[in-house]
Amino acid sequence: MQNIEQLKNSALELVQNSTDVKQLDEVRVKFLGKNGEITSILKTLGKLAPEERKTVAQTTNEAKNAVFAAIEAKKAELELAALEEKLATEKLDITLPETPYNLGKRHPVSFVIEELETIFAKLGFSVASANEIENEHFNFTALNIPAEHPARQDHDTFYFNDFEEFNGEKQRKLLRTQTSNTQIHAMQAKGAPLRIIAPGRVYRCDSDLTHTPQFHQIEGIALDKDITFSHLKGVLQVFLSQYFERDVKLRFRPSYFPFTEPGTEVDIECVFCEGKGCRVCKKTGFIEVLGAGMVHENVLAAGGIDSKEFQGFAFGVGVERLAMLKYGINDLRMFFDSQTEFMKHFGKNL
Amino acid sequence: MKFSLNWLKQHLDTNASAEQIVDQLNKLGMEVEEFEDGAKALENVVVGKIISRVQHPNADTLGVCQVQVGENDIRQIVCGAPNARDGLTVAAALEGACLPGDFKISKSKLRGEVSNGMLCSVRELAIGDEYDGIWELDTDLPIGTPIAQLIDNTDAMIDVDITPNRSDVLSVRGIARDLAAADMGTLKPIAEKDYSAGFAQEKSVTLDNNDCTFFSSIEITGVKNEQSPAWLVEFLEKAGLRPINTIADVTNFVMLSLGQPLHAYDADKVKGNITVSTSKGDEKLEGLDGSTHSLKEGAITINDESGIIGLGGIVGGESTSVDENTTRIILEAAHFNKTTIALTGQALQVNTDARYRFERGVDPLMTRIALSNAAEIISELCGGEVSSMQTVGSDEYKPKVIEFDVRKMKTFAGVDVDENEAITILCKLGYNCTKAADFTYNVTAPSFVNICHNFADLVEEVLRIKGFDSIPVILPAPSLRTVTDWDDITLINRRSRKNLVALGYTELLNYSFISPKLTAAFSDTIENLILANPISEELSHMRQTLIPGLAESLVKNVKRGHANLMFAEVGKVFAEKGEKLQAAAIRMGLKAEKSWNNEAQVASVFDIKSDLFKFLESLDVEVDKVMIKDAGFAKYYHPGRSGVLMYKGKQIAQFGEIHPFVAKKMFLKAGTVAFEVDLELLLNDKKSNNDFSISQYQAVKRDFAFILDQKVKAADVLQTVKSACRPLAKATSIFDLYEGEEIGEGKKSLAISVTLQSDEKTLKDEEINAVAEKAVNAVIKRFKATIR
Ligand SMILES: [Zn+2]
Repeated sequence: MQNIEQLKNSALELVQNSTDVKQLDEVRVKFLGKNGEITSILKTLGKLAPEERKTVAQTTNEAKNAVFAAIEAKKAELELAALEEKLATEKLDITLPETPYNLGKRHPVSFVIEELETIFAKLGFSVASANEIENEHFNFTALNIPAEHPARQDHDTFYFNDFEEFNGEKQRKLLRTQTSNTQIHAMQAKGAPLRIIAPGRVYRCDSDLTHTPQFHQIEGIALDKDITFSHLKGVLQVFLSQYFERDVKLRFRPSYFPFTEPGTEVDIECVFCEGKGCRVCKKTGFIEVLGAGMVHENVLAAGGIDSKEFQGFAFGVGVERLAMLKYGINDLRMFFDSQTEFMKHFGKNL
Repeated sequence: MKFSLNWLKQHLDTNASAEQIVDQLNKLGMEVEEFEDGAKALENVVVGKIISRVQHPNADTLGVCQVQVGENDIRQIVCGAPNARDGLTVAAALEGACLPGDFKISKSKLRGEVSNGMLCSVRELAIGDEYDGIWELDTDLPIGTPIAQLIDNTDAMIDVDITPNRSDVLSVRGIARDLAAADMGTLKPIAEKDYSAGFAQEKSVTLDNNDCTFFSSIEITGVKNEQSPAWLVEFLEKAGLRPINTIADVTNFVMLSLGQPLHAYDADKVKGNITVSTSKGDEKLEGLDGSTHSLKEGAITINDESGIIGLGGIVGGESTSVDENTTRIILEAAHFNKTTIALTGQALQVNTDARYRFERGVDPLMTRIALSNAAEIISELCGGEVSSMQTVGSDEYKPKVIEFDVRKMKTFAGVDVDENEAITILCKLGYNCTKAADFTYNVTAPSFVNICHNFADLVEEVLRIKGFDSIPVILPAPSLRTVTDWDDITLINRRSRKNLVALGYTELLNYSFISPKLTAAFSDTIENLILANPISEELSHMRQTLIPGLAESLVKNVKRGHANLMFAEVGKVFAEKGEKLQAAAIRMGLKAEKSWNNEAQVASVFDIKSDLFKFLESLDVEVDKVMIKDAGFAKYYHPGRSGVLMYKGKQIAQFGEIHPFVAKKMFLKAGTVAFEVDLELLLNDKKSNNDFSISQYQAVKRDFAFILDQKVKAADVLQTVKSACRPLAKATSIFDLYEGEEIGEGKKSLAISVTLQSDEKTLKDEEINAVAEKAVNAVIKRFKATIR
């Protein structure tokens, strides 16, 4: 019995002193191998008297398990040490630059359009679209701007030498000067009640520091039996506050658009000086952002809507202007100049 | 419309400050674009005395003055005026002053000497024109007196933007009238001098055109037409008009004051009597504006016996114009049809103040008043005898009666307005209201209001005076339509933009129009896609594809030193018939920037093809149903390195290398690759919900290598393998392509890998081998291939 205890202790000592897996294996063979010293004792158990056999068997098995566990533990310890030694030699200069990867950028204008579509979706507005090459009827006449109307001249319209028949009249083709043409198409296609916005490209024959011959607008129209001017105020208040991510102060001034009556121009309190007056707002404390009003009955009629039954509001807002105000872009022309530097700085991430 | 506060005060009795008036103008719908307050510009400018002036040590032309500006307040001010001298009483602008032109005065150093202000000339204070040195004031003025107290009427300049519906405020009196309605003062009465006792005019007027409904005239004989007096010149200059001679200036002055355009003829140059008639076209008029106008049929002409002497309501003729030798004039104040004026003006491209007012509408009841007013001023300034007024036609005003239910204020505008309040406001604005029933009035507009068709116009009038601020802010209740339905084109538009960016492309928005040269390089020139009036030739042809714009963007950025670029755009492209939404991408240079661990790999047609397929997959296109054809693409693609994609029978996309010839023409790098997708062909491509399952059984791979004729298409070989292995083939790939001596000329070797897997069981070796053999035999049979 003492013999076994000694055997165990010497085995455990050898395990502890092993410095590599190979040595450890030798210890295993010496004690626990087929002919190992502990194994041999177990093989001779049969020769012992029954009482003695029981105790010897128990002691030996305990010794065997203890040695086995010690070997396993030591093995894990040695393997970990070996791995750590190996990893220590694998150190990289992790400050080397990362592998290049192309990350695209969204154009700020299309990004803002999406922001607005999302805001208006929450207010129950769907999105509609219409053609950019229009005829005079949809761009002007249907919007209560007949041929002799002074507003026609103010529009700096791009024309084509191309006509199409409409309403039995020859209509000159043009690039739409406003997204308002969508009002008529949407009314004709969907009728009332109606709540839509229509983002898109529009064109004006004008080019200088603050004008580009193309830009983007978002048109909005809401028609129902009981839509009033105060609802226009509510919708614009929510839309502009959500877009600018703050409680924006609005100012409504009477104005005129042939397709609305009453018409209004809407200013926001200057986002740069908070109304105190600065260069951007020309010291007025306000910046004009959009035009709006109650839809004119002639426009409803052109859209096939009975103005005795339905009424509502419409508005149009310049996307570039909103983008410039929110994201601090100060040169309109940069939007269409395709410069990598501009896109890296002002482009939006997905 | 530009006017001065003093001019306004000739018509409006008010104590309001310039700032209050500006604020009220904005509220009334006259947007103030520019405002210069003369009184404000004189704040912190005081009477001072130069105690001493010594030469500036560092500048010959400057003097350093000690200026007394208060009892015990002496300040050093550097001044360059030659007349600055000891003992002079001056106007000193001190720190905090802001002179006209937004010129702020603050403490500064001039060439090393401290200067605490500025000694001003009358011109710098905008109270006069002289600029020969600083203003020399009376020596007995108390020092420290604010300069503003010395000027009895400091004026303010106001420039308002008048919208086309407000012809009633295209005059100073109209603006005064609107301000008076808003309780900003009282409108002063206007006197109409009675000339009925004057002599009878020599010439008769005949109306031979229905577009001229009223023509009034006065003859003045014995006038002296010299330069206008200073007050008149000042009024006109402040309004932005150039003074000409007294008679012409008075007609302009009265037009700006009262809104009625007037015209003066030199009576001695008019041959015989006057007739208003209609142009038959092909007629010419030498205009007062210095240009020759070719008249279109229908224009309103003023004629004497020699022919056309004026274009009614638009521009007078040179042949009968008044000048310094004029002694006898005929003054005209007439009425013309606004539509005819507008159409003639547009056709001739003549912009005059007269046309501007007539096409917007002129108050018929102001015509006679304006005429006698002008005659009165002319006879005062130029002398002469005034005839009696002669009128032809009718200036009767017949307003339309509008039924106005005051409850519309609530149901249309959403604002609570008391019935009395609404009607009181309308009456103040000059409307005539008679009660017809409960809450309902019959309303007629005053003669100066041009646009008043329905109740909405009246709602606006009430709101203008009550203030738009009074309208409550309310969100509309959600409607049953609150469910947002974005149309399909919007959805695919949004997804395309995002998905292209996700693939690494930077989104651009190029112009929809390109140059004729670029058009010719890429497409056919289509006549009806050319703008009649482009900004420039460079921007004159509507784009037929997005590729030219993208290619040009590359060139532009390469010029600035960029080399590896990926651009994409989603936008409208135009065809002879109609327009459609396209998505396109272009890339050039390396696949990724060169780096220490990155081999420099140039993006090839297979990279753009990969982007294209990933893009289509991201739009839910079932890419395994897409067929590739190596013909049928646009001529700007490389004939051997390009392809088109067919999907469900439609050509949805094309891709490839930009044709080297096109690339060279536009200085684009050879090897640039691009794709374009017709998004509208992908609409309504609803994908069915396929059954989903994951096979429980193991997948195995088999590789084959075939030697094939070089012309055999890889896609066909893959397709053959796939069909032979159906339904077990889960994936196929080509992992090697070899062409070379080893296998002989005109041949190529393709190494194909196929992944086989059953959904029902583990495949046995025999089954796998049988399928593989079937595939090999199919390829051998179809393409006369050999196994390598
Ligand atoms: Zn500001």
